Amino acid sequence: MSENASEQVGRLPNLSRRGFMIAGGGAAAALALAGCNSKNATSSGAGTKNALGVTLPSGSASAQDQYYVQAFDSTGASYKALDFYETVYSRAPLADEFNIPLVRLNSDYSIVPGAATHWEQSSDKLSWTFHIKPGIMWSDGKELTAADYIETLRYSADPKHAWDFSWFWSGVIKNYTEAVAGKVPTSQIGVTQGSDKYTLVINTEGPIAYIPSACLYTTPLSAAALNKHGSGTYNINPSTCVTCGPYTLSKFDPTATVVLSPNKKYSGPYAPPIDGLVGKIYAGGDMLPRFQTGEIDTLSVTPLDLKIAAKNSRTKDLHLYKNPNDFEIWYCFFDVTKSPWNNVKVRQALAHCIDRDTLIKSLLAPLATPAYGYLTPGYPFAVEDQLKPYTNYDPNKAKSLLAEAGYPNGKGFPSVTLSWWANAVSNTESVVQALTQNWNKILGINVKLQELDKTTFYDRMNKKPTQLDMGFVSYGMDYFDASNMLSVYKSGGRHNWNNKDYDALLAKGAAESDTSKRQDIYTQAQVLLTQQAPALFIFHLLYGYYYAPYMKGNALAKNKDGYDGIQWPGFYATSNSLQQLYVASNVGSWPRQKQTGVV
Amino acid sequence: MIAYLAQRFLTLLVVMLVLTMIIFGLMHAVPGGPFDQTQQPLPGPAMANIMHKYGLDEPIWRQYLNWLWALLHGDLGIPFEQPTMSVTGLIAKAWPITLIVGGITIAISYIGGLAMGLIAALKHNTWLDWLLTSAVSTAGVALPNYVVGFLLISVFSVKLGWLPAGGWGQPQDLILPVIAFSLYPMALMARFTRASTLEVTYADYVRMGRARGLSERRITLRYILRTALIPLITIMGPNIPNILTGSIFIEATFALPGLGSYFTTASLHRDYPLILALVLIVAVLWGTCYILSDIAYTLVDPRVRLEGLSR
Repeated sequence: MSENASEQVGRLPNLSRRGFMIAGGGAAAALALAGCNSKNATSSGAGTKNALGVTLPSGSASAQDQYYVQAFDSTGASYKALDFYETVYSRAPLADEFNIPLVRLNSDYSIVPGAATHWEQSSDKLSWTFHIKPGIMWSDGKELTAADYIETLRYSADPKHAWDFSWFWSGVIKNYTEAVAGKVPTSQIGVTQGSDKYTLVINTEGPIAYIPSACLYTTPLSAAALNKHGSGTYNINPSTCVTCGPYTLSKFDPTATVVLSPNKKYSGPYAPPIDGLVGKIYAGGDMLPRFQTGEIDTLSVTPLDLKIAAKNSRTKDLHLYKNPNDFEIWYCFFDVTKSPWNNVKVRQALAHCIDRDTLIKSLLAPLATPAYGYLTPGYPFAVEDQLKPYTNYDPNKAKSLLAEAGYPNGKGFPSVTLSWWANAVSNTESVVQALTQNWNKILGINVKLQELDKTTFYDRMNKKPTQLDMGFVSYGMDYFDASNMLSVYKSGGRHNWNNKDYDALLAKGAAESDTSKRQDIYTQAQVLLTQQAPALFIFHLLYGYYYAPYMKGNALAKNKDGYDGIQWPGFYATSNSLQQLYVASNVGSWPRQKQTGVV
Repeated sequence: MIAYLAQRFLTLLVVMLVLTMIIFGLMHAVPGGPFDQTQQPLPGPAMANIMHKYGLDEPIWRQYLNWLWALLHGDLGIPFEQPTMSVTGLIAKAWPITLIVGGITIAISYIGGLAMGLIAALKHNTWLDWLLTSAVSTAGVALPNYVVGFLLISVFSVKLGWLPAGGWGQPQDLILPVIAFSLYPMALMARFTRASTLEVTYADYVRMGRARGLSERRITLRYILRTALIPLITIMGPNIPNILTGSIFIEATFALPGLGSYFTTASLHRDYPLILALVLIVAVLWGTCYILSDIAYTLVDPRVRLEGLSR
C-alpha cells in the first residue's frame, strides 16, 4: 500500500454535495437492486402431508415448497391444447396431467399398471382386455370408466377432428383406418366396453403383441366433458378443466406460463409429493442463466451449456444426468429409387466411411453415442454387436465397395446433395460437414450440402415421391416397442426403401407374444436393415439434464441401463416418476425463485 | 397540408394492398404448409378436412379475397399456431409488452443519444468527446443487442443476483431489456447528433448569433440543435417502427412475451393469417412514420413546405 493511500484510509475524503448525492443515489440503487433478489428460507416437511394427502418423505422440504418449475422453449412450437387426444404435436407444456392412462412406464422402461390393474390378450390373439380400477373420480364427480377411453378413441378417429396422430392407431385398432377415412362411423372402431363399465376391450386388426406398450397413449378425456364441449380444448380453460389426474389447471398462457395446482379431489392410485407444476415458456434465449438464477428447477443442457456451466461456481459441481429420452436416432437417408443410391454397394461404401467414434468424441460428447445400428441400446430388442460388421469404420473396405459399384476412387460418381436442417442440440451443422468432408476426401466423391428450413425440409422429404435425394434427419420413438421405430423403414413408410423380407419380419414380430422369439425376429430385421443400408445411422442422441440440488428422489436415480435423470416419457401421468420426485430440505441453499399461487 | 396528408395516406393504402398481395403469393409459394407434420404425415382424409376447415382448399386468389373481405370487416382471422385465439386477440395481448419496452427504449435512447451527441460536439476533441463517441457510441453500434443482453444477465442476474434474468410482470423486469435494447439507437443518435451539430457549429448564422451577443445556451438550443435535428429526423424516424415491433433477440434473451418472436414463429409455422397481420402492422408503422417525419421537417425547418413536396 502506498504512503498516500495509507493517509487516505485514516480520514474521510472531502465530498462535495454533488458527489454525496451521486454516491448516495448509487448506494440506494444498489440496495434496491439487491432487494429484487429474494432468498428463500425453508423448513423440513418430512412426515407432514401435502395438499394431495401424500406424506412427504424423509429429507423433504415443507409442503409449500413442493412444486416443480420446468422451462419450455417455444421456438418453432405451437401450443394449442393440453391433451394428447386433442393434438400431439401442438401440446402445450405440462400436457397430459389431467388423466390416468391404462398403463404407465417405469424408469426401467417396463410397462406397469396405470388406471388398469391388469390386462390380458384373448385366446385368438385378436383382442386385449383391460380392467380399470373402480373408484377413480373425475373432478366433476363422475367416475372414470371404459366409456371415457372409448369416447376419447372415437374422437381421435373422427375425420372432422383431423387428429394429428391418427396414424398411430391405424392398422392397429379394428376399423380405425376406415373411420379416419370417413368410410365407417367412429362408433364402429374396435374399442368397446367389456363385461362391465370397468372393462375395456380393444379389438385389433390382427394379432398384435405390443398393445400394452401402445396403450401408454391411452390418456383419456372425460367423456362427459368431451360431449359437452365438442373437443378437448375444455382443458385449457381453468373454469372448464375436468381432471382425474393429480393436478388441475390454474393458469394457461401459452406465451408465458402454464400453472397446474393440486387436484384436491384426486382419487387415483398414484399421488405425487410434488403438489404443483409450473411450465415457464420462453421464446428462445439462453436457458442456463434462468437455471442459475433459480427461475427453473431443471435444465435440459446443450454441449455449449456444459462448457459454460463448468466455469460457474454454482453449476460446476452439479451432476450431469444423461438419458436417451425418446431414443432419438440421427441418420442419413437416401432416395433408393435413384442413381447412385439405388446401388446397395454405394450405400454400404458410405456406411463404412463414417468414423462415428471420432465424430461423437469431437462434436457431440458426452451427449451422444455412436450409432452402429438403428435402435439405441436400452430400447426394446435393440442389438449392436451383430450390426457392427456392416457399419464399422473401414475406409479401405469403403473404397473397394465403391469400386465394385463402378466408381473406382469416386471416378464417374455424380455430384450429390445432402439436405439438412439446423438443430443446435444435435449440432447438425458440424456433423454434416464432418460427414461430407470424410466421404469426399476418402472416397473421392462430391457430396454437397444444402441447408433448408425445417418445414421446407420435411415438406420435401415427405412428398411422394420424395424430393430429397439424400437427407440428414432424426426419428424419436412414439411408443416403447421395436415395432414402432423399425416401422419407419417398412414399405410405404417414411422413406422409399421397400423390402418384402423386412416387412414380413416386422409383421411376424408384431404378432409374436414370446419375447425371446420376438428378439430373434427383430434382430434379423435390424441386421437386414443395416446390411442393406437404406440409411446410414450416425448417432443416438443423449439428453443432458441439470437438476437443482434440492430436487431429489428415485426418479433421478440410474436405471437398469445406467441412464439417470427423469426418463422418457418425463414427468407425466404416463410415467411413474410422478411419485418419485420431491423438493428436499436443502432448498434454501440455492437461489430458488419463490412461486406463488401454485400449491 | 390536409390534401397532402390525404394523398399520402391514400398512397399508403395502395402500397399495403400491393404488399399483402405479394406476401400472400410468396407465403403460399414457399414449400410446406401450416399443418404439415414432421414425424409422420397426416392421413389424406384428415388433411383434407383440416384444409377445408381453414379454407385452404380454395384457389389462392379466392383465399386472398376472403382474407381481404374479412379484413374490411375487422377480422384478421385465426392464428394457426393458437387457434383458440383470434389474430387480433393475440396481437392485443403481445404488442402492449413490446410497445412498453419499445416506448421506454425510444425515450431513453433518443433523449440520451441527443444529449450525448450534443455534449460530444460542444466538447469536441476533449476526453469527454472521446469517451462518448469513441467508447460508448462505438461499443453501442458494434455490439449486437443480444450480446449486450447476455453480458447484462451474466453480471446483474447470475453474478450479482440483483435483477431477474428475464420474465414479465414486475417493474424490474424492464431494466435489463431496455438497457440492452437502447444501446444501439442511443449510440446511433449520439454519433449523428455529434456530426450534424459539428457541421452547424461554425455556420455563418451561428457566428452571427455569437457576434450579436446571444447567449451560448440560446445559440445551442435555438440555432445549432434545431438545424442539427433535420438530418436526425431522416435517420432516426425509420428506427421507430423497428423498435415498436420488437426485437426477436431482446425478447428471446429476456423472455418477454411480446410481438417480436411471432415474426419468426409465424413464418416457421406457415401461419398465414398471422404473417399477414404482422406485415400490415409493419407497413402501417413505416408508412405513418415517414409521413410524420415529413411533418416534423416543417416544424424544425420553416423553409420546408409539404404542399411543395407533394407537387
